[in-house]
This record gives sequence, structure tokens and C-alpha cells, in this order.
Amino acid sequence: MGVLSLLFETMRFHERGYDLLADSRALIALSFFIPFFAGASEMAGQSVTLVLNRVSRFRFAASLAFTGIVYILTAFIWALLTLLIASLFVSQAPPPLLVCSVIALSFGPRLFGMLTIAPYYGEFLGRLLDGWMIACAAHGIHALGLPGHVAAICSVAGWAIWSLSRNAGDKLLLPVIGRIEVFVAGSPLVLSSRNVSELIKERMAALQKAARDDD
Amino acid sequence: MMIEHWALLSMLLGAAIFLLAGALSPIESFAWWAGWLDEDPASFPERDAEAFDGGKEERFFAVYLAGIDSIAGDKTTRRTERFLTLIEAAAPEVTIVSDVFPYAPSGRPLLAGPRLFLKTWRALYRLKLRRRSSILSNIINLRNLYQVLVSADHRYGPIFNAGAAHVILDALLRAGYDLEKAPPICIIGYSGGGQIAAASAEFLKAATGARITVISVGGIIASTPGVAALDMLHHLYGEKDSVQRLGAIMFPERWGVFPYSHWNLAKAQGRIQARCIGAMGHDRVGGYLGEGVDEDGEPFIRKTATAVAEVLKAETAAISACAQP
Repeated sequence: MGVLSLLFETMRFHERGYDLLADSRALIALSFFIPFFAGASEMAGQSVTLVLNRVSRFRFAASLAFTGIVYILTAFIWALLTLLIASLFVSQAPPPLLVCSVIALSFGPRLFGMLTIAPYYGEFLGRLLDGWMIACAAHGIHALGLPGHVAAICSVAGWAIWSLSRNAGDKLLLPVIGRIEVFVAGSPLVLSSRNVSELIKERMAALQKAARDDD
Repeated sequence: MMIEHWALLSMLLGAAIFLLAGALSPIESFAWWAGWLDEDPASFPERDAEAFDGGKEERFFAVYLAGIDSIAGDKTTRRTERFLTLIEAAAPEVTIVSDVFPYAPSGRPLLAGPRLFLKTWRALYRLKLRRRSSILSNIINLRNLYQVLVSADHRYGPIFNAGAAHVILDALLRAGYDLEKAPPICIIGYSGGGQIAAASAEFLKAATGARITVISVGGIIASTPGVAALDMLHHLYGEKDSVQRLGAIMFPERWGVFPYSHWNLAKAQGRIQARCIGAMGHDRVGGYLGEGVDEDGEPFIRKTATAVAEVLKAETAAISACAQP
């Protein structure tokens, strides 16, 4: 119940949530699981890539877990970045463990990531969750005693890292993650929503040619 | 107080079912693409040699995609049958194909197994036939509406629309469509069928190389890549049809602020033409296929059929003129 009320309070921008966090080491530890479940939920919502590439059920589950781990790492990098930026603006940065926990908690809205599976409006919902997550991070950093503009810079920088790791991670930022992704999914996830149309059209044109040749 | 609680609980349950149904709606497309339905999505429809009428290969083909109340391609309502008969009478040079169920990528009707909710769909269909419980039979509309959104989705759309194109092509080949000569194809899409007609054009064009025209009858169409593949989209609408206006509102890429969207580019290039055909609404008696009458005394169903036939005749005439040496 403690984690749920903590999540509920922080997701509705209530400072009481951060008071709960400061009082309990167990809650700090539990908060680190939130990015994991957020990642798994997000991957379930975006599972179209896995389905397009026809991965097995075991590898499907492994991909969900792997995305969860990537999200924990992202939260950790985001927290480090926050501490670095904070040290440029204030003389005494907040405790690193609390910063990590606050950033991990800001992934709370992404627990609804599974709902992005909904057709057409799912993508819009995903962007809405992005905005909510950034706002939660900014509010949490500010609640730790950092000035508003520093909190804003930290949350935008963190969001940039997160977006990069999500959209271009396997190409630019984290080539290792891309390779592990291939290992977990069992094959390179070459088909995406962007290129599947071209593949189908090529196949249809080839089959048309074959059907004509048969005639 | 107790009743209020029950009402609230029912509303919450209804909302939960609504959201869950939406979240689960892409799964049929997933299953089809992944090959879980014992069908190979990469196979090419084969021509039924017995059904092929050798005299028809030069004809202009039109495929009719029903609205979201459709349950199976071969279970058309009396209104639909009459509508198609009127079009055939007004444009006899066109072969009309109507046994297509467009709301499943496999083309498998809701009444045919294996389907998880097969018994439910059959029960709802029986209710619909007896004209009972319109609320329950609206579940069919909701299910098909979600498939329209799957077709419009950037992520799932490609696989759903490829499936729909397969189903359309299959029906065309059964009707004697000649792939070698690839005569022009027109898809008539009523309501949600308009979206599937426009979206599947991309793959139908790749498979046939033919000229593809869509006639949307009060269609609710998103700005999908299929619109870019269309040679022409004729959007016919009724003055009192507020449902078709939803398409311009609920699909943001059709808004004027996105001038480079597929829809707005096609519109700027003159490939989308909208025409008001009368004072009809979207469905029922006062709808496109309804028996209601316009100010001039002409039934709406006849008015809609005449407008569709006019477009078909204009298309065939233009193509014949181009084909003349």
C-alpha cells in the first residue's frame, strides 16, 4: 500500500509523496522497481514491433523484461545527469539516493504505457504520458529543494536522454543495447511500422509478377 | 442510494469494457500477421477458374465495402442489396463485387470460426435480424469501429490494410478480374468502409498496378498513406450527416495545420473531390441507404445510388476516352 500511495501522491504532484520517501528507506528501494514495470508495460504497448518480427513467446517475455532493465539504466543516467547539472547551479546538491528515487518515481505515468496499444489514439496517449512523466520529474527535483529553472533543465535533459535511448539507442547512443536487443528477441528486429509497408508492397508486386507468369 | 451505486458501477464497468475492447482490437491483426490463424499472409489469392467469365476482363470493377454494422460479406441487408441493384441498373457496364467483409485482415466474417467470441456474434446477429435490442447489436458497430481505427493507426495500419487489400483482391479475382490487363478498380466505401477502401489502395495498387478510385459514401477517412496511392477519391456526403464530419475532426492529420499530410496534399493536388448529394443523414431511414425522401420527393437511397453511378460512369467514360488511339 505504501508504494501505491507514494505513486499516487507523486503522480498528482503532491509533495506529501516526497515526504513519505524521505521517511522510508524501504520505499526508496521499492521505487527503483517502477522504471522496470514501466518499461515492461511500455514494451507490451509497443509490442507491434515484436509481432511484426514474429518472435517466440519466451523471447517476447524476455524483451519485456529487457526493456524494464533498460528503463532502470535510463533512470540511473538521468539521475546522474541531474546531479551533475545541480552541482553547476547550487553549492549543495540533494542526496544522490533521493535523486535516483525521485527520477525512478517520475516513470510512474509510464506504468500506463500498455494502454498505448489502443489503435490510433495510442500514439497520442504515449506523448501525453511523456509530458506527464517530464512534469513529474521536474516537480520531484524541485521538491528536493532545487530552484524551478534547474529542475526544468534537469527534466528536459533527462527526457532527451530517454528519447534517444528509446528512438535511436541502437544506432547512436547505446550500440551495446541494440546488440543485446537482437540477442533477447532472437533475431534483428528489422521490421518496424515504418518499413513493413514497403516489404508488403514488394511481396505483393513479386507475387503479382509470379501470378502473371503462371498465366 | 443503492440504485445510484449500481448505476455508477455499471457505468464504470461499461467504460472498462469499452477501453479493454479498444486495447484488444489490434490483436486480430497481430494474429493474422504472425500466422496464428493458419493462413499465410504472404500468399497471393488465386483466381477461381470456374467463376471466371472470359467476357468480362475489359470491364470496370467496383468493390463495395459495407458500413460498420456489417457482420459478414455475404450477409448484406435488404437496404444494401437494393442500393447495389440500383447502382447496377444505372451503371450496367460496371461489375460490382460485394461479398467482402472488410473489418478483419483475414476477411473472415464474424459468424465464421474459429473466433473467440463466435457465439456472441451469432447471438447478436440473431438479435439484429429480429430487430431487437439495438444497444446490444451496437456492440458489432463498436467492434468494427475499432477496426477502422486499427486501419488508421500508423503502427498497425500497414498489416491490417495489407490484409484488407488481399481480401479485396481475392474477391476481384473470384469475379473474373484479369491481373494481366489490370483494368481500373473502384472501391465504394460506406461509412467506416471508406477508411478501409482508401487505406488498402496502397497495397492494391502494388498488387495490380491498376488505377484505383475510391467513392466514399459518408466515409470517415483518416490521412493514411493509402490516400497518396489513390488516383481519385470522390467523397459523397449528405447535408445532415454529422458523422462523416467527425473524420475531419477526429483525425488530426486532416486539419489544415498539417498541409503536407497525405490527405491535405491529395486535396491540394485535386485528387479529393467532395460533393453534397442531398439532405440525408448518416444512417437509418433518413440516411444514405434509407427510404426517407428529399425535398424533391426522391428517396435518399435512389439519390445516393444515382450519385455513385454518375461517378462510376464518369470514370469509365474518362478511361475509355484515354484508351482510344
